[in-house]
Amino acid sequence: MARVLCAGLFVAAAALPLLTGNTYYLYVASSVGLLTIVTAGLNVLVGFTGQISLGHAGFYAIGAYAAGVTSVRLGLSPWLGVPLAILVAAAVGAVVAGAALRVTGPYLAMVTIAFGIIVEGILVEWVAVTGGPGGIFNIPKPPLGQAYWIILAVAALSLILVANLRRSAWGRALLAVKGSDVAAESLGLSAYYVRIVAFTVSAGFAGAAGGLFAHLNGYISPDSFGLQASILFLLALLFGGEGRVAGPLLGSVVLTVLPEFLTALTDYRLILYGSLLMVSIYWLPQGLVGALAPRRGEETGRGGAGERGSRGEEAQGRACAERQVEPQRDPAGRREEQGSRGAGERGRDEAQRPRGPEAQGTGETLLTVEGASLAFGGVAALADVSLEIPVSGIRAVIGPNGAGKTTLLNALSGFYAPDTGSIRLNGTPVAGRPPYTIARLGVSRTFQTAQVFGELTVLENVAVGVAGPRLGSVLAALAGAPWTRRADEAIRRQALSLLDAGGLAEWAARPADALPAGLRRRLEIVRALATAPRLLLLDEPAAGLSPAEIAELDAYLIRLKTTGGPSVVLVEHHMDLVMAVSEHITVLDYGRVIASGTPDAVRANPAVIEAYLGAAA
Amino acid sequence: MNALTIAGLTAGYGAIQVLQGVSLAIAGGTIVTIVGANGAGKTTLLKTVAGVLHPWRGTITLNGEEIGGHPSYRVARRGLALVPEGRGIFGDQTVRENLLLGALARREGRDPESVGADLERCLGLFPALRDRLDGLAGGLSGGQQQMLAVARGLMARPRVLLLDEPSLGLSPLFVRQIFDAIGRLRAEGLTILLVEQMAAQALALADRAYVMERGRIVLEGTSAEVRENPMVLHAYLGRTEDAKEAR
Repeated sequence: MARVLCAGLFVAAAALPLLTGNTYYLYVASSVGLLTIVTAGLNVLVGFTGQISLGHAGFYAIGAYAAGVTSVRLGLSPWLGVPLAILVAAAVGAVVAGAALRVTGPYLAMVTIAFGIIVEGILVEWVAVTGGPGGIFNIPKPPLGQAYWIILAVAALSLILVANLRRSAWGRALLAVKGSDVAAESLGLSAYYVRIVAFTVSAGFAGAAGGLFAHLNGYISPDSFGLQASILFLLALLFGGEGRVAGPLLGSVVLTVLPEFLTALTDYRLILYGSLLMVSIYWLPQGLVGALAPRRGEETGRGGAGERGSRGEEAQGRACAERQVEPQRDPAGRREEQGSRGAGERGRDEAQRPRGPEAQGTGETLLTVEGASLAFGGVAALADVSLEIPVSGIRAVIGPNGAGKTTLLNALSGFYAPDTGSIRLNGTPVAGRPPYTIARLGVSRTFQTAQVFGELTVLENVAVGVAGPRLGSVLAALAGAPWTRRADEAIRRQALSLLDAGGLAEWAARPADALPAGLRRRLEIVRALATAPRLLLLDEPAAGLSPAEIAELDAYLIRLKTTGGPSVVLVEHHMDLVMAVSEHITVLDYGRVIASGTPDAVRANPAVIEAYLGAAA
Repeated sequence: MNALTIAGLTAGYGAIQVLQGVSLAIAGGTIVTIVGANGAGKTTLLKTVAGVLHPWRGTITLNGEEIGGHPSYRVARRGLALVPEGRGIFGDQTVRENLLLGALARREGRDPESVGADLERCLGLFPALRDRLDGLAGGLSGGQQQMLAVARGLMARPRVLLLDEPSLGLSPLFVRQIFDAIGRLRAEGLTILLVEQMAAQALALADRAYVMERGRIVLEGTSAEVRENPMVLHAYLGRTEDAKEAR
């Protein structure tokens, strides 16, 4: 249906030059096309990754000048100009992104404003190449009708490319980073890298539009590329509806055509834009497309964020992200210890639990923590913690609130770097390496407050885990290459079967936002398992579950263990669950290991009773 | 007189209706608990009563005054405090500042001595917070943040306190402490609406109980009656450990 509508629109638009020879109409329609191309690309950055750029006029300018210089100064074919414009803008975009994306949110917006100003300055000052304030004249111009057709084709192509991207593993990765960069990193995605790619893609689109603009106009000067243009780009996108594939088109039509109706009011153009921006933020938080789209039962989005995405969750996500360790590479001493895996296989004597064939759990050690200490502002969260995690089975970590359990998980998964001590995974030192690296080595986790990717469906959440860092080429994703689609279908099938095993299949098509709290936790576990980890870290998976749901979780964990699932570290307060599923319990208090042993031994330990369980439990 | 009366309440998010007409009443100085599975609408009910969500239909009466549709800050000033699920503490401020902010909603007893005395009382309930009083709340562990959220709710000196899963993420020792604390608050005359997954403990504490399913009240009675109901026994008190601890 939507396809037919789009095709019809396209045909109608393509017929325009045949219906009217009026150059003014064609010029306005061409401008709509150019704005559509820019905003389609900007949508990849703003709509998909949630980052704001106020400097895309800079890339538009780079594209325009690249095309202008190619044909006027170098005398090359105009057909080379636009591809070169894309390449140059994307290359500059990648460099700028590498530097600018060290920061995100409002800071990134500031940095991109600065970038736009610098580009404008260079256009004015670098007279030999740019012609200075006068600009470049006599850029080859095809007849307006033809130029319009080319622009229309590129605009349609842009929308298709972005739609392809959204459906691909890349699209899911982008929205995952927007939803929770912490969770995305725990699945092996580098949020920084993913954002750089998004920024680069959006710069390339702006470059294409700039190149086309140069050939449409035949003349370019710095005046066209100021901050106001950047604001217009962003406004068109927000007004149309960011994150939605048709948003850029609608926003571009309205923001190009409307001012033309009000030519008498040209002086008030800025006031009009400002008012539109306010209108769209107050009354159309999801843009025109969001307001016009039929309300589906499951449609949630920003407007109705209620039960979901509570502030505490965000705060925690942020707190976690802030602590995110800078990638401190240690080129030395990475491989050398590979062979000497944690010597003394302490023959595990805990065959006391009747359930589960513990026999499979040979004494082999997967992960070794030695003397790990970590303090936050003088408070010791971990103090000389040593423990060994075997290659299979479930090990519980319990302890009073604030004992350092979550800190331990954060250290194991790379979100914190211990101040001292070592963490080795299969002999490889991992302490201080970034979370996505550790995730790629086979460590997956859940979070105390479930971090689901709200704008993705339940199925897509799991698909992000299945794909992990294997996203393929972003160009192939944009093009919707057949092999990308085939790989994607395989990913979706696998995700669905995982959901099925986790009892979430009926929710597959719902936005993850719409899941009740208990099911979100389950989704997180399924998603973590989708990475096929060797070690799964669970942070209070039973919190907020009803007794019946805890019983289900109990059965699920046992099934995981008996079917050769990963080794599990379980942080949990529900002692009945802990006792039922784990073979070994480590007790933390004030960051120290105060007891360690079989569940029965730990339960009888006086220190544990005193610090944690309270009187006879 | 009932401290809080809810009649025919419907509410939801966007186009999704969650509450399908909920009616309940809480007598002053008692504890009422709501039991139900995840997704039954318990949190939505508390949010609607506290003015965080706008009710679609129905009335909410607090001490004889209609508060349905009032914004949450005004509801808070009328003496109703919500301790939300997911904590919602102010992470960039210290624990002490969080607690003092809680006192802003109160109408009387705003003088430093009363506020100080209440601060002491809260720290008495949650000694773990005392050591971290001047540390940033964002640096607290998850369970400590939960305690802070409850304590901050109490600092408002509410007449009616809504607790959404106060035991979430607390160690067994603290779970017991927090339920003890709730019992003591009742003895001091506070009216409490308690939503809790640890149904056995909640029922042991409460005077009356309601069971919610799919946005409706499907069962109500004294907590003893509800506790003995076969359906509740099966669905919500299934696990022996919980029941054991409650005794």
